[in-house]
Amino acid sequence: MKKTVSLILALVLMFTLFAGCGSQGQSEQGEPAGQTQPAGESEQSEQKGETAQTVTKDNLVVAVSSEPGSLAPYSHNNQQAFIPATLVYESLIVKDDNGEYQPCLATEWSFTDDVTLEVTLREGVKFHDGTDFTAEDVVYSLGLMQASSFTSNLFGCIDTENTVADGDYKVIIKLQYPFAALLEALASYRGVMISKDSYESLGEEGYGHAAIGTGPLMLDEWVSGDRLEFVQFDDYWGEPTAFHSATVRFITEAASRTIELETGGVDLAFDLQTTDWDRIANGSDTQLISGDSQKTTFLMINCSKAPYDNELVRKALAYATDVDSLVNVVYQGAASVADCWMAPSIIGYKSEEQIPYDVEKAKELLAEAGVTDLTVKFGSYENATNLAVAEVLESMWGAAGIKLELAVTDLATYTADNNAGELEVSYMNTAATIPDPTAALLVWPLSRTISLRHNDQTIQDYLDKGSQEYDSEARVAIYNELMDYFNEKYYTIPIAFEKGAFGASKSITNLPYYPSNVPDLTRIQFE
Amino acid sequence: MSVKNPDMRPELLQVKDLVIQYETSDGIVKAVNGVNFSLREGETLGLVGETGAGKTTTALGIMRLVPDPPGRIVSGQVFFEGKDLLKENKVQMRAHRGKDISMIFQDPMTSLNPVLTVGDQIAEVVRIHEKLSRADAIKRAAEMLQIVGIPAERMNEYPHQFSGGMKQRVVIAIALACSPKLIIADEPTTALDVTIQAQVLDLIHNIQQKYQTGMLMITHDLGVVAEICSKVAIMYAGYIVEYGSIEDIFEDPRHPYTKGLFGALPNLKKKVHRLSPIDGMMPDPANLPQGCPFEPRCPHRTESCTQKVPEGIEVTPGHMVRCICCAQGGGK
Amino acid sequence: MSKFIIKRILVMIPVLLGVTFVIFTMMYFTDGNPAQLILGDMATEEQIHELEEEMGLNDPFFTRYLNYLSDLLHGDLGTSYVTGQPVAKEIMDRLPVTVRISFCCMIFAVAVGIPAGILSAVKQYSILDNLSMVLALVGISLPNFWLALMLVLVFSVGLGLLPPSGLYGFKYYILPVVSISASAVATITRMTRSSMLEVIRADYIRTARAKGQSENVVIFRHALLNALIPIITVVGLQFATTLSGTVVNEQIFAIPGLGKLMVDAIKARNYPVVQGGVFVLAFIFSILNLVIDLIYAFVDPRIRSQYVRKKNKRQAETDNRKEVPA
Repeated sequence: MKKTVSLILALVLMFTLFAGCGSQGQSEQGEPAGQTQPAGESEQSEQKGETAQTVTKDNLVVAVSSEPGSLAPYSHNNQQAFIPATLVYESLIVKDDNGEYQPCLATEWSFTDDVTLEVTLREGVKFHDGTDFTAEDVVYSLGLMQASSFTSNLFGCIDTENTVADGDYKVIIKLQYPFAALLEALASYRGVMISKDSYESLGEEGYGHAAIGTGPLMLDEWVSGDRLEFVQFDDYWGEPTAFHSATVRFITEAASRTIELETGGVDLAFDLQTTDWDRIANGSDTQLISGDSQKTTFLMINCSKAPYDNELVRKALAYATDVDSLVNVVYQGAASVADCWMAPSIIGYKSEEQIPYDVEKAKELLAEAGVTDLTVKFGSYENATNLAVAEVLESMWGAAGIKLELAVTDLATYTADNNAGELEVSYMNTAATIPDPTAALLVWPLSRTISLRHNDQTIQDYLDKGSQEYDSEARVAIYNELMDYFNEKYYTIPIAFEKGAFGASKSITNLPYYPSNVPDLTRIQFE
Repeated sequence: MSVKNPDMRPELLQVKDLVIQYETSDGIVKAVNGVNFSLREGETLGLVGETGAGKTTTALGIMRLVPDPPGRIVSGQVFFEGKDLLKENKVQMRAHRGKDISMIFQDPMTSLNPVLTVGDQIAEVVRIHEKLSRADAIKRAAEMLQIVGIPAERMNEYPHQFSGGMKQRVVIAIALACSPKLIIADEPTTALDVTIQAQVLDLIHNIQQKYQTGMLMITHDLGVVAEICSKVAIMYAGYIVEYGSIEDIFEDPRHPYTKGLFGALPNLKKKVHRLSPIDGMMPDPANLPQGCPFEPRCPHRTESCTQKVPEGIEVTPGHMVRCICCAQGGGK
Repeated sequence: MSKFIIKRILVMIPVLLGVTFVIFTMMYFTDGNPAQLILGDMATEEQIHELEEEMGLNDPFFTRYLNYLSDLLHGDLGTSYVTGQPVAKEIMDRLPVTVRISFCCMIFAVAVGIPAGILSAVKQYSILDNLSMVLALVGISLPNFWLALMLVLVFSVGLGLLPPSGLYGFKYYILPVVSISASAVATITRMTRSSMLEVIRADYIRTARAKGQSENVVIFRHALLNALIPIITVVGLQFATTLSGTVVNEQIFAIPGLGKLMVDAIKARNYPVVQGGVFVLAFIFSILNLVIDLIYAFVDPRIRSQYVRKKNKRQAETDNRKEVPA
């Protein structure tokens, strides 16, 4: 009997040891602010007196599909990490709903010549760390942007040596070469400003977990694996948000995100699975905010691997693909057929003539190219859409006598193979981070190592010309020409313009769909 | 043999027409078919028979420990000190077990709980029936160990630390701890070495004499019977085929089976090439013949033997035989 | 006894060493370049090579392994490739959650499974027995994630009684614990039942009843104590399973546990986190096995004496000398 008692005591001791370990920093002290009510209700406190429409909420709860590795703005590519970042960071300029640039951290800006942009900064802006926002911070931020591998396609043009501060509130931004997309980049969520002081003292990793910006909210707590907590920044220079605090939860399972939205556990849910869209759109407490994204999906063909280096073979694949049916079957309305390499929202988009679906012609072309018994190795990672596409293509191409061999690996292996130029054909997408051709055409520069390898200098020339042309009409003409060129060379076969959507509770207003899929959360209002 | 006049001692146990059956998927196993015997205080009754005769089942029936399912006491009466045990409820029956009636089981290796000390196991039976404190119960356990010849210091050891013979002694200590009036010993020495057998048997016998407990000794060994029993019941296929005093059975066996048993014993005096066993095997208790169960093997069988099971006939006072042609006497 | 414990702890060292070697080798030979994954698709080849050099990814195998080991011996599990945070911190942030849930699951499984098993054994072939066996079969066969989603659909969406994800309070634990422990409950029930059935037929149970002991004490003191050994084994194994097998449920219930951390780390080729996580888990399992062996010794004196062999030998000798009746 004594022994059993001491055994039980030992077990209880072990248990409390572990229970104790975790309680600091973990979620047991209570639920995140605002989540006190069960399914269905969200707290609202009407502010009587000012305007009948100013409704504030205690806590905005957002669900994203993955935990950021870091919130430092130039250190990652994780779209889901940029969404909470919109609460704490701000850029020099912003684009309004009409497409016009509006001041944010900058009050005036103008190009004095092709490679010089003079910017006047707003005064009286403070960072979350208490320091003032000055030209020094801008110069420092631009320097980081230029160097980072994640933003070099947007800010690689900056001439860091000659970009200087002119006093505390003026910056002379110098470019190494003309870059037409500069304003677009500076207005995007990738061009936000960081605090030089904090970055230097915390380092990149430290900054990534401190997320010090100028925005209306600041990072209060980061509970690893669970959520981010944000609170109102009292010294914010502008209008406070309609919510006093925010919680961003990492819910990796898509079904769980949808369910939390439906039960009122979260106010916003991102990265939903397309099969849930209808439910959320028709839900009694939910709404679906959707639209055309900037994403084009395409079949990428390795143009330096035989037999795909032969244009006729690529053309044959294009004829053997019934793009309309493919898009219908795989996307079921969540995407439209791509009639151009770039999405319609991007400058330079031009509706091209579709390559008709003609199995006979495909066979003819293959014969002409001298290729018999073509077996295409289709590389993919475990992604439902990719696999669905492969399935459909297998039967479509089969009709033309082309066999499809599916090779599925995990994402890391796929990325390695892709960059080693080992893939033959695969289904890719290019999600432009900013609605500009330089971002949309990211896969085309000759310097890219992915398994496209077109080795076509003409394309590089077009890209260079287009990125440096400031005159919008001329620019559009250049890209139109490039689109025509793509249509002739069959390096890739554009498939679909994916739609995007996120779910919100019915009480949220003033949040339109953002084609970048990174909406500015600070503009949210409630009704 | 005993202190008082044997026939004047009060009746301790009276088993009347006890029928016990097992219900299995293969049919009904008739393990015990109308068994009758009785026992007085201080008397030792030997219940003899082959394996499968129904001896253990009878013993379990008296204790009402027949596993139910699949076993079932169908009918009969078991009078203990005048009360029919088969009519008692669970609580009353439990009060008897371990206190008035104790059982010593066959296999000492598995009869003790391996995770409790022997002291605890002896003390347990004491604390069930007597309102003793733990300390007092332990004291009693120590006493009992002494009585059975185990040093009391070994009280806190576990069964696996004892040899077979010692374990059986512990079992005996448990059985005696509350000074029972009746001990049922089910082949208590069968599983032990021959040399130890004698020791343990002596122990049991001495204790029984000393405390004047009644004993039902189940055994297949006639030698054991000869040593310590005053009455004998021969069991075959669930029936008692012969019953009487030890002199009756040993000097005047009547039933062909009994005679066969004696005939099969090796004899130091005679010189024989082969032992003479009884031909054949005991019938399957699920499939008993309609008539005398021994008939297929009986050298004296007749046609009428197959008609029905013979009634018990009292050939001499106190000597019962279940055979039609038992009129003959006969020696060994 | 303490000698036994020390010996076991010493044996853990080569085991853990072996584990680090195996996992290190596996990660080494797996395709995928962590530097590339960190820098993203936009990175140039030089940038990738530079980072590889910095991370020491181009060093020969044994140099890397030995560096890792020497860091390990100083208590440094390295830094995560993805977040830059120390691996030890990341793991210790998540580990208590996983351990806590595992504990809750085991307590639940034991509290439900053992009584159910005892009841089934004692009332064998009754309706209760059949029902619990069917439920046990269902519990083992149902896919974990399906059960989780069904529970969420019924209790969160349908009835609105319980929250669908997160771990912010007591009621958040209910669905994940029930879903994760379903198969543990089933296994423990079945094991308890079969172990009890075996034990109940033992002779010493009959002896206990022959003493006039009440049926409750017979079941719970005599039978259960003996039946515990295989049950404890199963409980230990199930604890190990819940500790490592909660990945899917962590996804569905958005629980910030170790499983999810490990899976994400593998996908991102985040070697330090994978190695650190496996090491920590191996350590925990070793301790767990030791604890279970010690529990055996508590429960079963026969096993206890195996650990204390010398004492036994002496006893057997005195035994032989004392085979003389009183």
